Amino acid sequence: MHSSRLLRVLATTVTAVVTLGGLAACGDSGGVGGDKNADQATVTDGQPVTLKYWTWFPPEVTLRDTIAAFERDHPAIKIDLRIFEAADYQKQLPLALNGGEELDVVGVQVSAMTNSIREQVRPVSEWESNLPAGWRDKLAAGPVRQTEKVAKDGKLYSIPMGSLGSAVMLYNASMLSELGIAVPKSADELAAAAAKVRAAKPDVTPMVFSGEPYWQEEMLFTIAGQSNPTLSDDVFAGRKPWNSPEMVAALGQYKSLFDKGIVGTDVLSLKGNRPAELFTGGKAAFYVDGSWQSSMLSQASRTASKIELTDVGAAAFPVVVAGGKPAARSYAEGGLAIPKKSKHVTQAATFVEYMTMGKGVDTWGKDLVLVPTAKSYSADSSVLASQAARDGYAAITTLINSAGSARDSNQGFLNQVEGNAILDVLRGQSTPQAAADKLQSEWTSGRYTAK
Amino acid sequence: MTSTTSRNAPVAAASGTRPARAGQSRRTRHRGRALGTALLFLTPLLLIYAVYYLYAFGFLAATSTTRTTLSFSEATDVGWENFHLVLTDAVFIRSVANNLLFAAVSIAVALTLGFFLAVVLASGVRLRRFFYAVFLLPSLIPLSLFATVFGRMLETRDGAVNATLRTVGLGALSQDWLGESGPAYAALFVLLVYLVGLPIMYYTSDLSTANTAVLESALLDGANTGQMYRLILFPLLRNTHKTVILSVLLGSFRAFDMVFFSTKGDPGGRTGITGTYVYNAMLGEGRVGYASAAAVVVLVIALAVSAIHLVIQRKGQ
Amino acid sequence: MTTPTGPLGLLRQQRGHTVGAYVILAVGAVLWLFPMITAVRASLAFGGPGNYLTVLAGTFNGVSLPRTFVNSLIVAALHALIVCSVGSLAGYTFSKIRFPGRESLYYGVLIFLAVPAVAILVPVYWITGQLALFNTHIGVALPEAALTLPFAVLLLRNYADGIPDELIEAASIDGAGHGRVYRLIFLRLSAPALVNLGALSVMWSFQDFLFPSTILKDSGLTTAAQAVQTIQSGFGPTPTQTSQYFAALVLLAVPALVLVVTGLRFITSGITQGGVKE
Repeated sequence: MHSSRLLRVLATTVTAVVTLGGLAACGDSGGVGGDKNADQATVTDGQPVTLKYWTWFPPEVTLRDTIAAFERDHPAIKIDLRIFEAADYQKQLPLALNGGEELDVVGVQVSAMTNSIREQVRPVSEWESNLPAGWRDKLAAGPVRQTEKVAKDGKLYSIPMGSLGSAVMLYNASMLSELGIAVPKSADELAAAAAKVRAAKPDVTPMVFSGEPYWQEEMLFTIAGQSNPTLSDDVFAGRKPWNSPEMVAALGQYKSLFDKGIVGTDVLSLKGNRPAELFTGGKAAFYVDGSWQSSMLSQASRTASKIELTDVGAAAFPVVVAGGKPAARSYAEGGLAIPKKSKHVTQAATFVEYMTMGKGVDTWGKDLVLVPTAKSYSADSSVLASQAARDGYAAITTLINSAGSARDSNQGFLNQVEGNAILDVLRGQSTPQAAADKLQSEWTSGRYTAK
Repeated sequence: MTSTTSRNAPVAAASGTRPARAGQSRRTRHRGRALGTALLFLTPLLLIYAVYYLYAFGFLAATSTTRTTLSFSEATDVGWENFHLVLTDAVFIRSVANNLLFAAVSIAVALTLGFFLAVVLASGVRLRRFFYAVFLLPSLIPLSLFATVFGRMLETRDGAVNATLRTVGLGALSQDWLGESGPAYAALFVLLVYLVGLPIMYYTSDLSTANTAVLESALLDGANTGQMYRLILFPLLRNTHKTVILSVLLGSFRAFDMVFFSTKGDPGGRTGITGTYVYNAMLGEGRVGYASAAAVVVLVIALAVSAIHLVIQRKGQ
Repeated sequence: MTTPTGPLGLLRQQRGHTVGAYVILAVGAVLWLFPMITAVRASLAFGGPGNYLTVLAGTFNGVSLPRTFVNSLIVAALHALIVCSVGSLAGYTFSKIRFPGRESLYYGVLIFLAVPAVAILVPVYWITGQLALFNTHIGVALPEAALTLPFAVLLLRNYADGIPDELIEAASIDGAGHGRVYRLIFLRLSAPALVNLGALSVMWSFQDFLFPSTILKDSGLTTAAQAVQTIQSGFGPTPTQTSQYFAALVLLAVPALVLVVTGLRFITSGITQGGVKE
């Protein structure tokens, strides 16, 4: 090959590589390999700073109003919001934070996500100088402590906006009063109510809830908590095995809902938004989900989300075994954290303060999505238009404040093993004892937890 | 199918006209120069391979002996434990078995239905183009999309499949498709049938160049349609069958979207394949090392399948 | 699809074959179109055809559908460019340049044919970070190309083997080196195969979900296949929004549909040329 030819090929290759490299310069290196705090951007007067805010909760309709109010009070700061679905967010946020997205404020699912993103997020101690002095006194101690303890190194990585509980039962109050059904407090009353609904309205499913694997744990421990309030905590802390008699009993009790005909196994094929969609479309009388759905109690919130139900109430999930008490698990939720890659920590901290202990609490608090951590908050009674709504909100608040266990779970184990094992029991493909044994053996195998 | 001529006789003419030199050294110089040129031309390929295959495999091997998160910092060494856990996980073994099962079903469908439809279409029906497009459509739109639509159709209460069955009076056949293994597998088999468009294309192309003149004599001998299909056309396309089997087998190990978006591995992870297994493990907290170990096992299997393909190809020459 | 009817047309003469054929094909067509018809019906159930306009004009979880088409196109074009250029160089080399170790290297290249994308996902994530290629189109096109190249080399070498060596020798008598032969002769002769390969590459890139979903995190860079999952959280739990979600799904299929209609010929002959040699 002639040397000039060779030179030309080499030159082309080098140019190509350089161009690729040049194109690459437009990309990010992400947090892969460990991350450092990003340098702070300088703020020029008159230039608004835009904060990128990713979260899964509260819903967009709630956040839009709060953000608008914030931007009015702080004209120099603009918020660019992006909302994800809960389970999807658990996957997307770690990928994004490690993958170079420059986010300024991120919502954190306190129990489910703190440890998967804490390496990419600044501990609160690093930016608390931007918060008012004595800010801890403005917040209820319980949720903050929970948020601290959930991290592997015991540091506080996010400030929780409030607390949530699950599972709770929402009901179509207008449908119930139309059919003359009282709010059921026990499984037998629920069975009777279900039968009445089926007889009067054949195309309505009496009770719906999600059939996704992760939701089964919530149902199971809610029912278990009715006789053993601390069972969930005990099992996750290793004080009791997964195949202890209480667990086996709880599995049997959950299954009994299906055996009694309260719900059919077709409910278990409802995924994603489908249960909520059926409920809001008037095709279900009872909807079991977490207290984050309590925004449906507010007429204003329903109208904003284009939900056409006239009256919605809420109550604890009916007691399945005689002698039990209504229960739910609760936890701090809606943590707000500032990633290491953020270049606007001061402004981000201002926003976090607004949302957790400032005026923002009153704005989003109206939508009843969380019981706020801020001590200064008191519920605005004008939001709860009907008796059913007022009773419902009171019931939910009581459940959250008196919860015996925390909503803390191991996501990998939950999604791959736990949820599926419970579903097997419900579909009659496994016995409670066998499923409980399987849970115990997988939990101790080391695949999902460090041995 | 373009038939290739056998490799031509080595270059002889050109060198004969040059002044004679010590033959050995010229040949060596020639070959040395050829090697240099070849390597130069192959540099882009080798570079991409080096980064995305060789370095990647090395990285996988290194990560698979650790317990780490997606930021790859704070990695703790755990030795062979990840491999031990992967290979003893019943779910993993089942997912490998599922891969092979789905490959087998795909092959069976391709060799029967795919072959049959290709012949029917090649026999000269009107609107041939339209039918080809229809049968090929599910294979060409993003599988994430098709599988999502398909998965929605399978919902027990309001899914299109059960709703249609009820409307045509076959309500007894309506199932909890994602609730039990049997129906879920059946649903995935149906999804595999939808993807028969590509094998149809293989057959169609080969049919156009195959020597089908033997059909004329068969007709004179009084063969009926079934015999013409089974005893004449099917054996005639022997090489195509081999191609179809191999390409479907190779493609089946790359499957991911098909299961991830339709059944998501339901019920209870029983229809999961190796792709969904590794993906779910990768996005679990602190399980990146475990996912790497699973990926290494999957890779070994995939390379073995490739090697078998190459050996068969070589024998066929 | 230009298939000469030839002897196969004799099948038509069999009694009942034509009728049987049309019945089977018609039933088959209905079954094959059933899923997409379901999606279209679901998209019109609540809100009617207006859903399509809403979905086209709006952003869902930050993602705008027309933007996803553009992103898919850019990634696909880059992918096809890399595959065709690198692949043709390699195909020419393996076929026309005799060098020691050629066959072993060739098999070494082909052995990666079955590698699944998910198996190298973790290292690709790391590599992309090290090369600072997150949120770039080329960052997605490169690993996709890595997975397509074994097939491309197979295809192009087969095709190159079909080009008589005499043409190459004629050129080298005239003093041309391999570089000039490749550029002036080979590329022109292998244009049909390159077009087929390009069409196939575009099609495969359109279908790719895994690499865009791990590398492209910015909502303005989402591709069509990735958007199927990303936009899901943008639709709330009301029946109207579910219909809009289905409308979005139908729209996301449109680029691939367009591709099928226009490029069918290239795609199919590209696939079949990569098969077993006679």
